[in-house]
Amino acid sequence: MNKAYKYTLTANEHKEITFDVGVQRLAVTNANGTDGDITIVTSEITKTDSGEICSFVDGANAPFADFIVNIEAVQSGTGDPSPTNVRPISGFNAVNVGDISDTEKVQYFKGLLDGTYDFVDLGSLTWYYLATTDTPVFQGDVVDAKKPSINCICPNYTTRANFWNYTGNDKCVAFSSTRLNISNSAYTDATAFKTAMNGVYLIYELETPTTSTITPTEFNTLVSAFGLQGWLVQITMPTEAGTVYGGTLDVKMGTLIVNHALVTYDGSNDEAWNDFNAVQGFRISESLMPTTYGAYGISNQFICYPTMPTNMGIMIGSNNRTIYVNYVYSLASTIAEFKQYLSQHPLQIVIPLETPVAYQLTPTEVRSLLGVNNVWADCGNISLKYFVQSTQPMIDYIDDKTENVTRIFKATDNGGGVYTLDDITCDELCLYARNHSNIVLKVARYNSAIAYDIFILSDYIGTSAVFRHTMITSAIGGGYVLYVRELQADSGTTTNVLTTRGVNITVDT
Amino acid sequence: MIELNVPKNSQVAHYEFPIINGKSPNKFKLVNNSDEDITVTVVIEQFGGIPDESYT
Repeated sequence: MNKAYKYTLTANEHKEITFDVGVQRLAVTNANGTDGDITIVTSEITKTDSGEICSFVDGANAPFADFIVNIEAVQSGTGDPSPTNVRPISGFNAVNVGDISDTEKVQYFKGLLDGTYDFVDLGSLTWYYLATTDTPVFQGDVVDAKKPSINCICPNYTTRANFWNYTGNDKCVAFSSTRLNISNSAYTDATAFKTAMNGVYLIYELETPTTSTITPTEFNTLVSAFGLQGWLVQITMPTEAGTVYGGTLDVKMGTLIVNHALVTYDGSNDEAWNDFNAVQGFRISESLMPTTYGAYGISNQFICYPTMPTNMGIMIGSNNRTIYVNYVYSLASTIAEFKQYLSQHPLQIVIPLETPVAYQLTPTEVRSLLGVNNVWADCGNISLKYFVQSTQPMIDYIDDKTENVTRIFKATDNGGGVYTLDDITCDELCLYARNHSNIVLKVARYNSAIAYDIFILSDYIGTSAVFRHTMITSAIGGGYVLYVRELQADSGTTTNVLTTRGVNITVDT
Repeated sequence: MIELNVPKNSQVAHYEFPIINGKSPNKFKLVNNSDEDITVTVVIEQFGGIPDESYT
């Protein structure tokens, strides 16, 4: 969203200005004058969702207001970490954010990012024709697929278990205990079938999960092949941030906050471990941590507890910034022995940072939500907020530049989504502004301390009616305020021509 | 720091700054070369890149 700032410069003044974001494109205008005369306000409705997959089913047609990805370190393996069940910790050098429009298929596409599913072009397989089953099948080898399984999807075929054991099951797909089976009565020749299957994709569950290597290009190819809408955004962490083990990524604004770090203890000489025999363990100070008891963290070898563990385990944090490793005398009972143990079994711990580090990334283009969407990330839960176009907007009318609201029109005044102050429509307003070079349309967040988020300058409205309409309606739908002001070119003073005519706003529903 | 000459009344000047090595400018100097006080509106139309005050 555009941001606008207003400055007053005295004669021949040079003024330095600094923004907290990097700037790629800037517009500067010398528009003398004060704030506007008419304010049109829509009631701001926001919806939020959070979790592993966020779904929107009401066809919200507005950009995300917030799109936060919580980056959390991951551990390989399963079960509680222990010295006999070491679960290495890894972080993220890049974050993938995916979305598709199909609620039923979202788990498969998400699985492509999670490394639990993979895909194959059926035309790349070697096929065999088997005519002796009740429903004849073509059989192909997909070595890494889970078998037997019906956890697969293909746009050309219906998934059905053991379909080959029954007659009449044309255009079906399933894995037997050995092979992929597909029925297609249009073919009886494996070579012809293979040729016909070029460009037909199957997404299938893997026998053993792996690290996903799918690219945005491949993802987009699959989305198209399945007749869906969707996208995959890959956001690379800045080099200075390194591998991220915990933090938040604002996808919309391109801001990365790193609030956790990985520390590894390998028993080297500079590690100042202390014996803590009251709990048969050891402790060490970590200056990066906050003075918080039982802070969140994970370890590759021990369970992390929010309070002092009464059996083998770790507590991260205290008022003296200490990590406690309790009840490990069965592994090592002296500091020397413990360091030797660590040298052979390095201890990984993700700790919170007392001072999170912020990075500004290139903002990622996040498209508007259209129709049913399911959004997820491959590094943790996400939280979204977006505006829904109000069906009951209010129109505030600021009279005569006093900025006092003198009239408030609500939906009940007119109903049906058309709200009348007088006799000019939103499009007409834009056209009027376009045809009068000294009009300034200003859009600002309602009740915000920020002056203006968007200025639509008459010289900059553009010739496209679609653009004008989109700008205005999206601003209104996004809970923004539209100020209208005309500047007199000759004197630079402000006149109030539109207050006598008023504005109709038609809200698309 | 990048110097921006403010245009005449009601005109709009556009400036573009490509991201170089991941960085883009965030510090500017507004220059009023006229003998009158003026009000200047600066619109950030697109932001991105890591802010770099030394971007030239």
